[in-house]
Amino acid sequence: MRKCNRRDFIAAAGLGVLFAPYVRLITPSQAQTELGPAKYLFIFFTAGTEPAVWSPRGSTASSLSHSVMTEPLAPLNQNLVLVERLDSMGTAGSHGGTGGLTGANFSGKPLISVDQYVSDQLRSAGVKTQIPNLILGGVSSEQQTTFFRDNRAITPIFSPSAAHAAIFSGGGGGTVFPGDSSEPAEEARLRRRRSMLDALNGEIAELSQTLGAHERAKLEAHTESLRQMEERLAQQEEQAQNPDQMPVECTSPADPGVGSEALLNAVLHMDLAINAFACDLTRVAAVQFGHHQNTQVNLAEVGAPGDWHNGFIHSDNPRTRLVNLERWLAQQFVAAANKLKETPAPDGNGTLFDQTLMIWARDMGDAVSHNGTDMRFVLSGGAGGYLRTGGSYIDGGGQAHSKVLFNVLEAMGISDPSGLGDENTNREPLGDIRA
Amino acid sequence: MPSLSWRRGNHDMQRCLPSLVVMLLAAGCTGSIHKAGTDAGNDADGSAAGAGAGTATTTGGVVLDPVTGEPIADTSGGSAGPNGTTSPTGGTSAGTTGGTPGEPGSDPTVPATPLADCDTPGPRLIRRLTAAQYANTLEQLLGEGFPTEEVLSDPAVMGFHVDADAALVSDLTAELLMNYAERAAAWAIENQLWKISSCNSHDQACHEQVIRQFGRRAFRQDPTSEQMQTYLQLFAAEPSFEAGLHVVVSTMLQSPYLLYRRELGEPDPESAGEYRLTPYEVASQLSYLITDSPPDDQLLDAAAQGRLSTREDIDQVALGLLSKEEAKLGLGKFVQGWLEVDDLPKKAKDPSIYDLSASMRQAMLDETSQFFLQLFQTGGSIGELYAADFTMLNQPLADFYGLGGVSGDAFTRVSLDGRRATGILGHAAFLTEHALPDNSSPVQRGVTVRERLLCQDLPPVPEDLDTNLADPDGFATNRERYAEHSANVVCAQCHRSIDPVGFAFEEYDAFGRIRAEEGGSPVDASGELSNVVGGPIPLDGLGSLNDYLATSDEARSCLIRYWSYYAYGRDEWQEHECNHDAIRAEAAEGGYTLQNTLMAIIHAQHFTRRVAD
Repeated sequence: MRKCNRRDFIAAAGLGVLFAPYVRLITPSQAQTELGPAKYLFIFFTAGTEPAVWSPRGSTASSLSHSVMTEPLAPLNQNLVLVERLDSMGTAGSHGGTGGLTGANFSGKPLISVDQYVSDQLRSAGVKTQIPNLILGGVSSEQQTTFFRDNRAITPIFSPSAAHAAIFSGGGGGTVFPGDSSEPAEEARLRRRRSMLDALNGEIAELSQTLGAHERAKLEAHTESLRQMEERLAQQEEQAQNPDQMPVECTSPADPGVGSEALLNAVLHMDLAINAFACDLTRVAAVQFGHHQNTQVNLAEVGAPGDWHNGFIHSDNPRTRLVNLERWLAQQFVAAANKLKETPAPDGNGTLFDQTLMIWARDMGDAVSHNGTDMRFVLSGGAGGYLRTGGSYIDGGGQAHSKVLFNVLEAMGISDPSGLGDENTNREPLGDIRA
Repeated sequence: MPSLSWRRGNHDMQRCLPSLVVMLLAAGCTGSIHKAGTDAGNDADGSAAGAGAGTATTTGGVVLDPVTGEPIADTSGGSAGPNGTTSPTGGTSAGTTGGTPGEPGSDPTVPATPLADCDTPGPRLIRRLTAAQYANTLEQLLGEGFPTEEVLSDPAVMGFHVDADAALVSDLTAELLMNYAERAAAWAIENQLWKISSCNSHDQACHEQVIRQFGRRAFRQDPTSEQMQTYLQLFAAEPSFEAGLHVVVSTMLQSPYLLYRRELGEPDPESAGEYRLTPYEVASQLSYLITDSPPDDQLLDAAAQGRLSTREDIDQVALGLLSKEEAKLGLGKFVQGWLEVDDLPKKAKDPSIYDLSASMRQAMLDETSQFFLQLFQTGGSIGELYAADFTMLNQPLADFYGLGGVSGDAFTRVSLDGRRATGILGHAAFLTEHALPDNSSPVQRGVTVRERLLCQDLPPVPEDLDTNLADPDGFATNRERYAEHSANVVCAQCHRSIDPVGFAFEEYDAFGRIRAEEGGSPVDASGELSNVVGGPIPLDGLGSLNDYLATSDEARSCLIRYWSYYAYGRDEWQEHECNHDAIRAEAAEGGYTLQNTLMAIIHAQHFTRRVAD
């Protein structure tokens, strides 16, 4: 039986606007395995930009001199590493390039993005959160080209309302029926779900037998999705059987709804992701702001409505709206960092910010010229002490951008990096990023 | 051949100046766009790794050489299309035909034989319902008023959201489905018990009745004996009828037999290596294609009685479905996806020029859908999509156009009498979606004509192309702004195929309103349609473009190709060109009417027959 205690968590966390007035108690991950310095990975993903305007000229390895685009990041200076002039080595740069988070093109090795790789490796190492990872945001009308596993482009959850349901409704109360009085409602719900899962798995197995390999793969993805739910159910069952175990307190937010503005939906997704961290429901979350090909933007902070790529990047002269949008994005990145700072870590050790590696990644370097020879990252978060502090600018000097993806693995304590990228991928992390 | 949904060259660049120019090789231009989907969908061993990522490869149809701008001949040995152009067969993610004896999914009595003749359907497949189809299915099962939620995502592929490979149940989707199914089932038991069960006793007889009746609708076929046993056990494990019904209905709402349309068939004893789809499967295909909804009880009865086995049976069912109100769902969804206007509700437009309301955007979309439907129902042809001198308007839209003469919110047929350009290209939906927020866009309109109406692949924007822009205020008209494209050698290689087509639309502004002047000068809507049969075609306004498209075999073939993809969820498979040739031939025999074209797609081999996957 799950217990719920009201706590003044909302005020302490400063997150009142979004939150429902009840607190959920969550069983922690089955193994609080500390693999690396950073425990949580937050990926903030956007399209490419205009390097000449973005570049924080005058910055050095030990001091930052922000550009008009990066200036809103200044509040994070003490925990900020800006890296640019990295080369995607032909994996990114044009529309649809796959290398941004994978460091690779399609090849003989199944394409996988760093978020999925980290998620898989954490699970292999025994870190079993209720949700393996969250991929949120994006633009529903566009073909997905950012997040991959097994060569398959992953479709983000576009709607914040749907994301909320996926993240926080797993423990919703069951329906009570006549005759149920002999069985506690929560136990009945879990038992019924277990029965339904058995039936569904049986049907999938039966249908799979009639299919060839290609079609069977669709049901294998379905089976995996059911298995994830099954694992989550197992954790919920354990909680029901161990009601005295209350190590983690978190707040389930109210349903944020869904709007028509993709970028504002992404902000809602960001809040959901941080809440998911706060409840230790996952350790990996990526929020995609817009899409490289087509993002309709109607934000007062940006200016007249238009399309991010065709309008702001290719039609404007001067590119005022691009500057405004980049500044707005930087403000959202800082807002995410602030929320992480305000949120206690589930294990009681400091704040989420202390334990999170934040990384702002892009799928293109120079979006004006469509090339991947000048890729850039923004890194922040305490990351358990992994990141160098004091404010740092790193000129990548043409090194492979994939190296930073391996910094991510290093920070998260992933000991086997061999499965990320292909035979051409440079797997040596950038030393300058480390503390 | 239809191209991928995203536009590579669709940039409203006012000037592009080469700096560090890295020229794409001819082969690289046309291949690189499709590299992502192509490679993933064409694993060498046809293995599962490509599942879900396998978008249709689109390397057929007319391909323009990025260096010369001329159509290039295909050297891969593909079949010839109706215009004499060649198209490569293209790889697919389907694996080999015939299957491998002993491998799951293959019939050991059917030898794995590559079929010698060209008339070959595609592979067996399962196809997840789209979000809308799932909602419509639940409405039929549970009745009106059931709670709706976003549980399924429909990936965008080729401008549509119907891809048979990309739509999966993965990651958190199963949990979303579980949560939702439980809620929907609970709602149904509380509000619509009569619709889901005709009995309510907690005994095996009633349980069997419920499983048989509800299950038949949910699975779109009779439950198997194994399913009967499974669901009887679920029922019996619960303390009450309602609790058991909740578990059974919740499970069925998430069942793979509900979520996936099955196009698997049974081995054809008369044709080695081929499968004939079952009547139930054909019923599902027809119903979802035309109405975006599942087969109703009447259609399921017809399937059960074997009345979907002959062409005449299928025609009768199809015509019946086409006469239903719901037919506008399937037809409207197709035309909006084909023209890539379905995103109009979110398109950023400058409110200082015209404050485009949500209702007006919807009216614009409805005009195009209603026009297509009207043309379909009155025997109109593909050519009349461009040439028909009428449209469908309600009062707000008529007033917007300045046409008047219409009252109320209902759509009615209105003769244009030359007051606006004919056909879909004169619709505000097309003109507004394919434009800038504050001005027309010859590039967007030109690209859409090339890619969606003529199925011509355009090369991607070259990497390292310096696209630094000139000051837009320095130009009085759009033509001047875009003149740099043709003046610059690097830009011109792509834009000489795009801009001259887009200039023909210049009489229509960013909202599809007619303008006679721009920047103090009369609008110049002259242009040219190059790289087409009989071309280059001089253009002067939309009328000239419409005149060409209305009689163009390329345009007909292109529409047929997109409509086929929409129907099948796949664009390519081994020998797919033969299937498409047959469709074109039958559509031609029927005067290329929209109805005969759709019927040709339904009559084609692939609709009712398959090979091993």
